[in-house]
Amino acid sequence: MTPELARLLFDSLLETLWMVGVAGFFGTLAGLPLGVLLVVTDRGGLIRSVAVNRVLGAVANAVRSTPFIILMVAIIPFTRWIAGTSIGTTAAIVPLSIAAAPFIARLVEAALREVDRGLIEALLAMGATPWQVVRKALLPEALPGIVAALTVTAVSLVGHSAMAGAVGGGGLGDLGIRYGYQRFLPEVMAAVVVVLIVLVQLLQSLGDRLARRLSHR
Amino acid sequence: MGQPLTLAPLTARARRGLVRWRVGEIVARFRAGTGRKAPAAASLPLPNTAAERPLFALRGIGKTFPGGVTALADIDLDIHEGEIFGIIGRSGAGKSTLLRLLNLLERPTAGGIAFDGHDLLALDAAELRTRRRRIGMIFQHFNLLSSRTVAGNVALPLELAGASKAAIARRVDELLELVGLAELRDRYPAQISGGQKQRVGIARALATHPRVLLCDEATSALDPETTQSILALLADINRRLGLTIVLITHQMQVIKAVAHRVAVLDAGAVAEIGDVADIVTAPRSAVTRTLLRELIGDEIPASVRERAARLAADGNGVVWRLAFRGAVVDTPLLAELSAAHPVATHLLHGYIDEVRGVPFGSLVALVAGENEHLRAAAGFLAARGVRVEEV
Ligand SMILES: Nc1ncnc2c1ncn2[C@@H]1O[C@H](COP(=O)(O)OP(=O)(O)OP(=O)(O)O)[C@@H](O)[C@H]1O
Ligand SMILES: [Mg+2]
Repeated sequence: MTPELARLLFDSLLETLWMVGVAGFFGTLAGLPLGVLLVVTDRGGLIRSVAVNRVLGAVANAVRSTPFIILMVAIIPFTRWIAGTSIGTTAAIVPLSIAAAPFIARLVEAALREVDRGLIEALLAMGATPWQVVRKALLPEALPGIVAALTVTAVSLVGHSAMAGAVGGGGLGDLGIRYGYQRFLPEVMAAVVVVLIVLVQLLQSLGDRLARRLSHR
Repeated sequence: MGQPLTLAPLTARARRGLVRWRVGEIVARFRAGTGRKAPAAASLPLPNTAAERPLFALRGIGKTFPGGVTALADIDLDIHEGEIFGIIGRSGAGKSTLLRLLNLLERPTAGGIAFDGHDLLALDAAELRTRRRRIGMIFQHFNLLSSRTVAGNVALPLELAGASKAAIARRVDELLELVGLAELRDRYPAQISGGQKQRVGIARALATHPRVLLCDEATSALDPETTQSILALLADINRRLGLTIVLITHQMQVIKAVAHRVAVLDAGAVAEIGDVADIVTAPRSAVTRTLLRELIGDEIPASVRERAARLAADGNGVVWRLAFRGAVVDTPLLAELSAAHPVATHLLHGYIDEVRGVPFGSLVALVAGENEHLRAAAGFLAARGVRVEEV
């Protein structure tokens, strides 16, 4: 491997990590509360509200059912308004975050539903407010599940960021397409694939370890 | 509240209630102008002074679930300060539903509930939360947070109530001492036994100084020995802190071991209610007798019963179940019976026990003899206060 190729790979890796990290952050910022709301507003939830539940559920489903490549193109004006441009690593973060949010919301929702109803009752019987139930019981008890959900999200963001790279977003995907495909350098393509595989493995085992560490079951 | 477990429960209050009841009865007879007992107006005398105000007063309580299942219908119940009140019934009788009404985890669809003189149903959400801190609850499956240590779980209700760090630390130490778990304070629930988990549940429920502890099948997930230790702890807490305890169970053993009064629930209605000693030793309803059977274990195997029945038919005899309590327990009942009447007795099953200081027992025996002698024998037993029941 030539030093330039190593340099290129390293820079692209940093770009990918940046996209995944920032999009993961914003995605969680929106997705976590959304997941909580989906649970507490549902039938039998802490603050039942069928209307809110339906609307949030519909929005989440709409975003999740739009293929990422189409979502990315469809929201270009919005991306330009937020990031000032529609190409480059930073611009790619906008659609990545938007795609990640409902994905995280649904996974968080599933994790929260795993929490035993008896625990919620115990807290209500102690005189907890709905917010206290969420903060003191639902979230801490579901934390290992939430970490697992974020791990899955990070892995799928790596994939999506490579796709974003293909349309000028930077990162490992961009490198693979430009050098490996357009200039026909198969060793670059191979190197990109290897780095991606290692990255995903790393993320997954890190997430698994953390989740196991947090679980006291 | 310092009475030992063997004394009759809440004697002073109960007696006062009884006296008032008798006076009411006399007045009613007087008004009716007959010597016979007037029909009871209400199933319970309504308390009329502050001192007699029950901790919980349920009137005409009904609960019909959205699906249309009526779990409870027209329940009247008073639970007094300082007593251990048991609720027993078969699966599906409505025990859990009734208990969950007491802290409004479930809202009744009919009737009213007063807690300490306040209408629970009239409280808004914030008032109800404050009130719930005065009503502790423990559960069959403990419901501890797996993400918190023993100490963290006990601290939880105090955190919810907004207590200071120092106050929480002090109270948690106190409580863990009380339930005997000081050593295990940093363990997680997954690292302790079921009995220890229930102790954590009890400590947690007591954290905010409740007036009453609600126990939903608190020992049903535990082995017999651990059950006894948890029941002993509850009885001890009741005695030392004067804490009112309401416990539901499907096991007569649990009622017999700790309760002062008991309500027997059947298909959503109260089948009978009274002092545990009375209900256990002289059950009036069929459900109670069935529930007692589990305790007494006098189910005679079919083959034995068949042989006994054949013997009975040949030699003109019967299989009797004799139930008795009090002094009769000390007499050689069957020997005296045979001595007084020309009947032969063959014992099939015997049980003797004590509940709150009252000894009681039951015998199942094949009694053979001429018809007239059998009749006389039954009279002999009845005269001694023995309930005779043909099996
Ligand atoms: N949330 C609910 N929705 C509909 N029906 C219910 C609900 N909870 C209880 N029931 C019904 O109400 C009746 C009484 O139930 P409950 O749980 O109070 O009985 P239980 O005496 O506690 O029984 P177990 O000993 O099995 O716990 C049952 O027929 C049950 O199916
Ligand atoms: Mg139950």
